Amino acid sequence: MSEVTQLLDAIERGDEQASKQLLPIIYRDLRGLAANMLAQEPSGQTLEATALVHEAYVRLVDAEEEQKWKHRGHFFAAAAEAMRRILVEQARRKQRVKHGGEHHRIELDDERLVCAVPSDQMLALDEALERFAQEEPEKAQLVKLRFFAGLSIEEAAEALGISRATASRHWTYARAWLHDAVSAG
Amino acid sequence: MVAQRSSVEEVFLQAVQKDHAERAAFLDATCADSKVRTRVEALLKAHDNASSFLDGPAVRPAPVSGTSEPQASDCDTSSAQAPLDFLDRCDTPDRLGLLAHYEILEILGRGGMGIVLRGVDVKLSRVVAIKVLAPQLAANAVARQRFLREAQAAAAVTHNHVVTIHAVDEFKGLPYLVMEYNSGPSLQQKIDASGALQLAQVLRIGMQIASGLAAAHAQGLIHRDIKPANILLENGIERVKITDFGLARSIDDVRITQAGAVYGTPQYMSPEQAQGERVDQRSDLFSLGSVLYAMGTGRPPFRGDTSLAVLKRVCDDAPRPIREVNPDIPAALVDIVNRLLAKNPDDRFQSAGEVAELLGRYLAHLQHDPLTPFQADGRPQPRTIREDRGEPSQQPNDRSARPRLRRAILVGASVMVIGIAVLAALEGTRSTNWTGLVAPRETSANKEAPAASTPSPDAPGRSTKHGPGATDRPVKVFILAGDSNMAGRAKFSVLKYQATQAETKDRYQHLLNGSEWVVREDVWIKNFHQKGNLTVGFGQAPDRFGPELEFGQVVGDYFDEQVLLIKTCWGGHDLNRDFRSPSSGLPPPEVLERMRKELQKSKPDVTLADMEKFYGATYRAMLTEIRDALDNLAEYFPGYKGQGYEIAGFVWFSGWNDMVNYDPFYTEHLANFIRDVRGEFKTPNLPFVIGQMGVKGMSNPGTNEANFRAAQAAVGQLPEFTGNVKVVATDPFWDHEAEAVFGEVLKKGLKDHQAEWEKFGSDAIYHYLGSPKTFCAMGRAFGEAMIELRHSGAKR
Repeated sequence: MSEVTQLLDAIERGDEQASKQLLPIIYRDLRGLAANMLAQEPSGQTLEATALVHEAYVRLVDAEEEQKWKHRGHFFAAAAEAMRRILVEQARRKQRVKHGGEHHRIELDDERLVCAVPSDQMLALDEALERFAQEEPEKAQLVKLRFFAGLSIEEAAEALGISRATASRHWTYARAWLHDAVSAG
Repeated sequence: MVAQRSSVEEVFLQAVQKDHAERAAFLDATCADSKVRTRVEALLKAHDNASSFLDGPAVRPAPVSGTSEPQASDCDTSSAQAPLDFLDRCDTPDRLGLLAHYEILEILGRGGMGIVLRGVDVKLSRVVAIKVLAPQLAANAVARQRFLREAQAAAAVTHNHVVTIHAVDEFKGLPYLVMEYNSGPSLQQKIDASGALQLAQVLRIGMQIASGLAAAHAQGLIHRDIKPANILLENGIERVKITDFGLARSIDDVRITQAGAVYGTPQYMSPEQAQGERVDQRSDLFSLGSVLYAMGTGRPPFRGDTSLAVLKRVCDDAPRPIREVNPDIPAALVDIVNRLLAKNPDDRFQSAGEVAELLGRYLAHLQHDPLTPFQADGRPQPRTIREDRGEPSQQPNDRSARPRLRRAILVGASVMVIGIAVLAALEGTRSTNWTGLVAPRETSANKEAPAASTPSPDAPGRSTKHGPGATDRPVKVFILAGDSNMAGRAKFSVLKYQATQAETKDRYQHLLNGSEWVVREDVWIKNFHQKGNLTVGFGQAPDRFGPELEFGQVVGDYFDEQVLLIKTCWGGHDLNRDFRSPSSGLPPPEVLERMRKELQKSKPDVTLADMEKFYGATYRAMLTEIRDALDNLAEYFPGYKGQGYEIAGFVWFSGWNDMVNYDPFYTEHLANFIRDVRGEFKTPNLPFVIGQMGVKGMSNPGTNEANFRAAQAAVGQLPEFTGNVKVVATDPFWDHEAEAVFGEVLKKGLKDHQAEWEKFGSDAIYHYLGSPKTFCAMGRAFGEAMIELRHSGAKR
């Protein structure tokens, strides 16, 4: 069993410590993977969250375990969170540069992850998402899975253990809620 | 507040379904509370204005000009504009139009068969690819029916390597299908860009195509148009998805009416298909053969100036021998391709599953043993990688080999070059298995010159050894059993470094004789096929060591008699199943059944009896290993003079897997294990030292950690084990310094800071970071506990 699989198993069993251990592994892996893939790609090529996250999953989780959707759910949750952190850090850094802030070493691998959302909006969205998570943790999780880990609605639904129809309703509500929050804010 | 929130949500979700005109009336009717209404209206406004908000993933490829989209692969993007006039008008800016509830973003491609669009499913807010059958085909009722029927059949196939079809429908008489949108290039584009692929890439892609085909064939679906353009690679990572299942068939009738004007590219067609005969799943296998050929050589096997010329060659000619085009293709792959390209379907492989399995096996072989030719028939070479690497060769079952195979498959994707170093740290055990060939290790017994191996006379406690007659007394045998941590994951290069550093060297001085490692003639060790005098290098790999090193020093120093350590360790194995001893019996039938169900996914014919065999397999292998050592002392250890032996102690150090899959019966199983081993060797009070799990110093243990450690400790508390079983905590030996460095180095990128890291450790967290300090300290603690037990035993 790979370390990640074991951690996923532990999370499955309600071990909160394991979640904490899983996140940095996936975080590192996504960044490392991004850097390595980019080194192979012709310049101008960028990466897609979905591919990145799925690839990390395939690499980190044992083949035997791959079919377990519960595992996948936990994995993607951690991956979405890792991706969120990468993007928020990136956005913060960009904002600092914009405002003539401190010098910061630019990480090639991060910069090549082209975020679909401008940095100021990303930060606003993240903030709104945080507020939303207080009210509607499951719906916020759905947004994270879809937006940061690039899961489809079915995949996200399965990861959360809810029906597709429910996920779809949640999504409509979450999207409106968040759009309202960022527009108003 | 909660009630209000949920009512806002409810009203909003209902209102959003309604036309704008109806919404006001609906809200009048449902919202008694003005606050709720205000909120719902705000949400509705946000919904209407959301446009592309959160439309796709946060990270996505920027559009790259000049590359065509894969799902348009069988379409000609440069052809004249086909009218999009069948689309409805869409009010959202930047949309080309509306097709049912799909807002069309762009044309991905168009061709003889139809048009491929990228759109947004507004109901589900996801980006999709939509294939609409060309109007001239749709006009043909048979073709239309077929398209719908085949698309529906294809939609039933759910497989990792088959593009998912979300919906099949008709719009204004035009059939269309909605499928997952993939942004990667097609295999055709990859071949066009880079020519022939690497062998590992050919195998990996081929294996995935075959496995996708197997899934579809199992549902009775034949693809009919397997060709590189219909193979999508996700973002160049070689995650293969087959697209366009069965769709070729919908235009068959049209083709027949237009003699000579063959649809699409005939290069990959099977002979039976080209002749218009009835096809079965083996037709896809022929096409797969052509795809493998194209991957290996950069061009399709059958070429010609016209489609008819190509078809004639497909039917009549042998392709140009693959090695004439690319001499680097090994014979084994040539054989596979040739068999797939047999003109007669009966001469081909008969199932895609068979091909997938074979290619997978080939790939695994390539990764493990690239210098030995792969043999398609017969199982993998008897000479296993473990033996090559001087690692234990016995495998009580093949479970442990499977993840390695998986790794090998993954690594086969040379595109996906991961920082090996990062993986080495994250995946300690695995990385060594695919970093190439390591020469077999000579055992120290036949390698070391005797002069160099004399123990240092300065070493404490050693000068008094071997008093008169001591070497004639029976050999003291200690068994060291467990998982990878007992096997030993510390690299001795790290030990070597630390032994030269002022702040650390003192703790290792007794292991050194000048600049040489001490080789203990008074302590023999057998670690599977490694046999010799104890020194570094008897770990899980030849460049590693484990607790045996210091354990051997301690007991070697203590006993006047010759000492023998027998290591029997299997990384990744647990007590609950693998080391389960006879007294624990079998688990309940439902556990076996669950396990069988899981395994059936990869091996359909496994039986419950097979499952039963897993239980205790490692326990039995362990006994075999111990007996082998004891029965062949004279052969294995030239210093043995027939003085006999005494089984003097047993150290059990294992737990990660038992901890992760914590089972409340652990204490019982471990107690049974102790009793059974004692019974087996007729040593009723054999001293047992149990190494207790201590990864991460257990500073903040989770539930499983705490439970598991308690279960281990409980064994020592059982009355029958008083004075003869001792549980030794290992958390005090956790290397916090190494942990801190590990964290730091990982932040900076392990790849470039490997040297820095290897001053402290050499493995992952669950292997105690491969810290030499930790492994030495644990070995010493086990040895001291053993001596303590021997003392208390003597007093009794």
